[in-house]
Amino acid sequence: MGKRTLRVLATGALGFGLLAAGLSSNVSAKDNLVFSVGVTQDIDSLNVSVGYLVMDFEIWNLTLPSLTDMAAEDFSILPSMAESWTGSEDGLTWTYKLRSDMKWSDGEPMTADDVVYTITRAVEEGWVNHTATLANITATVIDARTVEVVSAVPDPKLPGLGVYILPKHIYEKISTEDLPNYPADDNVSGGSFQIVERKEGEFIRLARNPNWWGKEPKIDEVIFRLYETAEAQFNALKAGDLDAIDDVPVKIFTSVAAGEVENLIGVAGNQGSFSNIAINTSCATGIGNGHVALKDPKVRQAINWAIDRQLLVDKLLNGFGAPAMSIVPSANPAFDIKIDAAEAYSYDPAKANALLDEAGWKDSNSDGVRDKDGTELKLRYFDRSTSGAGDTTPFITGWLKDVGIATDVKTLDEDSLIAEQSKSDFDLYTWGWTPYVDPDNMLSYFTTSQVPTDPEVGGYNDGNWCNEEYDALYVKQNAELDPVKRAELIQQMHRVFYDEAPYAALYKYDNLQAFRSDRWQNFTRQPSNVGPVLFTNTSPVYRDLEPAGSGGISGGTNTMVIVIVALAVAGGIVVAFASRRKKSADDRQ
Amino acid sequence: MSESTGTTFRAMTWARRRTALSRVWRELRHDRPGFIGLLLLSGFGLFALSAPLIADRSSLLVASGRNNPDLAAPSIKFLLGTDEIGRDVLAQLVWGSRVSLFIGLFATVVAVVIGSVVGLAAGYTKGKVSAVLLAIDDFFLVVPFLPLAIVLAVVLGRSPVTLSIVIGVTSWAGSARLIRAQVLTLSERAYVERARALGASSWHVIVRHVLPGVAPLIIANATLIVPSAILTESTLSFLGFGDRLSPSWGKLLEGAQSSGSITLNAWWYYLPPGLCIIGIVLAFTLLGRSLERIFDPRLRGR
Amino acid sequence: MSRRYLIKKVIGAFLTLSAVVVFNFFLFRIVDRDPLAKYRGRSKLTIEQRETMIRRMGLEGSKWDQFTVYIKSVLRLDFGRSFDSTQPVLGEITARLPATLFLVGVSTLLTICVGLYIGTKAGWRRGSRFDRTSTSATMVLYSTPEFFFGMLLLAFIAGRTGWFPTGGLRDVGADYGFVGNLIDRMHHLVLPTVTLTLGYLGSYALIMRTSMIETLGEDYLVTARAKGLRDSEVMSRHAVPNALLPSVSLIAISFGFVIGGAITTETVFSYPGLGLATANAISNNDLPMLQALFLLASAAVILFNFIADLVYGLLDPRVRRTE
Repeated sequence: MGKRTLRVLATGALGFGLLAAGLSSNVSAKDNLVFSVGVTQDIDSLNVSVGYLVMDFEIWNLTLPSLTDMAAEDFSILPSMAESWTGSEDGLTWTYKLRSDMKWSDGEPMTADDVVYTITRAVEEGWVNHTATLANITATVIDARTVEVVSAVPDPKLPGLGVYILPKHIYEKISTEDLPNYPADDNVSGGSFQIVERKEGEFIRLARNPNWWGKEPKIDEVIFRLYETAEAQFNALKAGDLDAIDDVPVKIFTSVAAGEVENLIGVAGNQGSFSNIAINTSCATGIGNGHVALKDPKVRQAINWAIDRQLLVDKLLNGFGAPAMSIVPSANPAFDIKIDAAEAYSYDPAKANALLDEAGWKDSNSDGVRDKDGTELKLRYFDRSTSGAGDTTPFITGWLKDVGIATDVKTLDEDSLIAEQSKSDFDLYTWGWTPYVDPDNMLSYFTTSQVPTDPEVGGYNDGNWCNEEYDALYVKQNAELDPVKRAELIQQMHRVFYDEAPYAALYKYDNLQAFRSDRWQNFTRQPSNVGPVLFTNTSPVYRDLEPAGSGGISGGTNTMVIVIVALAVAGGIVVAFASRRKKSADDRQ
Repeated sequence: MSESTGTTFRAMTWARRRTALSRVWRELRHDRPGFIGLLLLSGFGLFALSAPLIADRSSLLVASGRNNPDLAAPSIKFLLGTDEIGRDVLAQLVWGSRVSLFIGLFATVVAVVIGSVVGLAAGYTKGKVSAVLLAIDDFFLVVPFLPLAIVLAVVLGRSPVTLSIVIGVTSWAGSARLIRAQVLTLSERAYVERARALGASSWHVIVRHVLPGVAPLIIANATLIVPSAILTESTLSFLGFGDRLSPSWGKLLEGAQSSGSITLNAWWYYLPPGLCIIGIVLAFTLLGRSLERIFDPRLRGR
Repeated sequence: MSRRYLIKKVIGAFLTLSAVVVFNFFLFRIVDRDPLAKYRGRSKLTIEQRETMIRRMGLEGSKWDQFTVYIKSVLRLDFGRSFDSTQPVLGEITARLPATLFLVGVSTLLTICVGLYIGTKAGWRRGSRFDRTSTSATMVLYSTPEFFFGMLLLAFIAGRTGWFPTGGLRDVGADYGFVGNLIDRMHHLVLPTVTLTLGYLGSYALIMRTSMIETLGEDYLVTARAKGLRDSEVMSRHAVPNALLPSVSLIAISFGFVIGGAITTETVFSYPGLGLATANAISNNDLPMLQALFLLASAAVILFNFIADLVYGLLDPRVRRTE
């Protein structure tokens, strides 16, 4: 290659760079207000009848309407599709009056038909996210703007009815057969935003829904971008590619919360999320096939005493959480178990050993593992391969070993884990929950009716635990309209659950989120002061967010300049390299 | 053959082997890269052996960081600081060297055994058997290594032993090919043909004449399989498909990444395992290439 | 290149590919994974629904029936539905293919060019300072796991300076026009490409250096140099082409490693290509997806090897003569 050719090439590269510079100046001229959120969990399914991850709920909160909404501050019931409602004397029948100006994003009117269609079909087909709320409910159309809801039993949740309502004109075309595989890519929205673009495994982009009839959001677009590692995601936030992230690694979060990172603020929000180990108690009415030892409450209690919850909170959560003694039934901490510190499970291996001895499990053959009647106390421990809530398994297996319980750990993906749970063929398994606001759903999961009896159908009761006292209390609280009395009943249920120990509840954990405070303000938390900003119950933040101060949001330009510099440098290196090579070749002649 | 001649014969063989060995040693000492590799390797070997002296096994337990600060910088108490749950990084590094070395070496044994058997058989047999063996070899040579290893790890499980088998099963193809080529050249040599003409059985020819001939090559080749096995193990662990309960270097790097240690400048957590992987791979590679040069005169120039 | 050589290579590639297809079938039947796990406990499927799904997944009847169903679907490029997303696998793969082709393509090209250049130069001037420095450097590069490079680049270049994005394929939601978008893609591609290139540069350079040294030892080159042919001529006319030959097939084989490298690199940089899809499919035990990805990766390597064989056949006079 002659020197002249090289010069021509270099000039060409420079021209290309200038062209790029010209283009990049257009880039920053855009004034679309885009809020970019980094996430490490992809959408499971946009289909309301099958999806179950918090990411799915976030999108539904933005795109699907509901009869009533919940206040950001305290979850109190707010009008939404229904602008008003009246209840009958007995509290069983509620009549909702709908707004008159509602349309789906495709222009179709949104009416009582959509509401009743969704409720009826969800009950018939047993949609996973609707069933518990709608268990006793029937809905009928009175007229286009009026829906009547009848509950078979007094329901303390009513008149709040937050289930997602779907567009009838889209879903009536989808048969029961096809629904489980329906990707819900119709993009017809009835919420404040609508999906405009989705690349699975990459991002989902939502723009303001022009037909939205509620509070007008100030931002034009929300983008959720998927990152593989939490560290890459944090670096993207720091570099300004993102405006908000969920799932900040706990040690990094500590430095953000301490104000050590410029322009960033951290929010540790709690909405009742907790981690647990389910203990298969093999209830007689179910198909549970757990280790025989686990049928004895003493052994289950021993497992609970063997675990150092405070250490887990300190080490895995860096203190952003608290030990849990029972299920956490609600995002509202008022419903948490109330128990004396002296009584609460703490790290007490001696007590665990004593309970196991008492239950007759002793290490008779001195192999380090307890046994009874020739059966070793070795438990099948199913572990979850992806969990944002800390890797508790090595800790717990270690502590169980200390008290003479051997474990055989098998790591499974979430779907397989649920499948195993439906078969109830396990001893211990790692799981975690984020409860709804009303405690009813979470409490219902541990009633006998939720014990899996058919692997094809499954059930929520992952402890395979049945207790008549608990069942009776559950029915009572579900029909108790006096909030104080209901809270008391729930405390009694906690007590039964605590003593029977079908779970080793581990800890409540905070959602660790970080935001660009130099760009945005009004980070609404739900509930106020303690809750998170992203992934809340009804996602009010997207309607409240506004740009910080008057400074616009820049970006793009700087990076483009870098590309140009990089190209120029690369060009320079090529030229230098090539001419040097030529020279050295000449030298050697 | 009387007993006394048998002994002398054996003694002679040993003497011959001793001279060969000392020749290798002499040449290795003068081959700088190889010698550096050997020194590095001895260093790592000592490091792995000294694990119980440096840290108690119990400091690997997750709960061992109970009273320690998390992500603490190096100090007298913790020469390489602590990880995100307060465990001694040095303890994990030194015990991790055993896991990484075990997997590297055991996987190599698996690969070399399969590779030698297939290579010898393919080189020594003719016709259909050889063709089939070559086709199998082709298959394993071509199938993308990491995806296959990952898939097999999913199927077989994740303990260090199964991981080694997985890695071994996926990395023998190259050596089988090499050994076959060597066998083919050897078979044409006069002494092998003579033995065959004298009516020696195939087994005898292989064990007595061919195997000693290819042994040096197998050793050199094995030395080069170890580093790639170690790299594969670290990659599998890093991707989260390794054994979660044994502290390999890859696992350590995975922990460093997921806890955000790079962003937090906790160099004592992410640099040591990274450098150890580079170091041990470098050591084996230098030594392996050097042995190749020594055993295979064709490569003298390298 | 004789026709016989060509036919032999075509048949060879085809046989290997078929072996992969068969192997694939059995490999994934061993895994104990509930194909309907996605639906279990979440929606009440009727018995008919379940049976339909099992049939559609080709999991019905004897192993032999399943095998024929499998072969037929593979021939139609129908890989079933992903266990995880419940959407057709083929669509998911084609959507992600361009990103990976781009990444692997660019870095393979770079690796070959830079690697061969360094290897040639080092081999040509064996023992020189360039040789010593470059060989040490390439040895270290060769020994470094590419994800370690990636981690360091991500934190120190992308995280600290902000010069490059920390992940992804593009600025989501931005439209810079055709050229602008292209530059944007390239901008996102820089760090993953550098990672992948550095990761495999070492082995290519070392292969080429060895090959070069061997070639230079051949009598005819020694003679050519002794006869006073200009060095640059000897190098470009004789040494390099001859040294390239053995490198070609070795490089084709190491292409399989580059595919493995794409898995880790894409993971580190959240680059949504097939490598990342592979990593995700594994953590989700998404067998149909894995099966298809594995087949595709194998096919790519087989194709690459086949091309290498052809190049070899075209370049090497011995192949032309004897085969």
